[in-house]
Amino acid sequence: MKNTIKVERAKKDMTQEDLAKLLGVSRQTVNSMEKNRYAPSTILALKLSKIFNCSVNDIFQLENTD
Amino acid sequence: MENKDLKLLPYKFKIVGYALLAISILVFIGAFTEIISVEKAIIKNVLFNLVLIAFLILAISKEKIEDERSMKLRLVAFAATFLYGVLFIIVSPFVNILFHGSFEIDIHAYQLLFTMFLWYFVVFYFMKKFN
Repeated sequence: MKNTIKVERAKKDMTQEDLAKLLGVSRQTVNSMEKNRYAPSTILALKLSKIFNCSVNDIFQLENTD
Repeated sequence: MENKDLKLLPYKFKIVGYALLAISILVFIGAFTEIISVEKAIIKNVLFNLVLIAFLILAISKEKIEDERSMKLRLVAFAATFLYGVLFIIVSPFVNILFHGSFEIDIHAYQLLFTMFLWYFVVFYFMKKFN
């Protein structure tokens, strides 16, 4: 699964730390998600969609290997 | 939404864990330099228990920022530790026969638990940092 968290974060001019604080997670978790090493839970995905003001499908996309 | 994750001790308990670890080091130094003149067997038991309690508290207390990823990594580390413990017991007799010529298992429960906790901490913090 790939995601556009980094792009969406850049659009909002936020640092990983800022986003982590809004999500209530650690900065390493945001970093792991951006690098596709960690797939977030539905709750975290919904929180991201609320912060970025777009749908979950706009942030996360399935890949052929999924 | 109801949270069905493991229930952990608050982050503040880490201080208790580190304090117990520090006390056990002091007890060890005291016994080694013979400042504490109590029977060696008693000191040994107290020391092992102190270290195990300290490790247990450190292992089951929350991180400074506890989130779903740290919980996932914790569960993976617990699973890896369990497998390590089982493999340790299976492999030990073969190691014993190689180095001591005896097939008997001579592992103290403390020894096993001590290495299991160390394994848990290494796996958990390594994954937290690099995964």
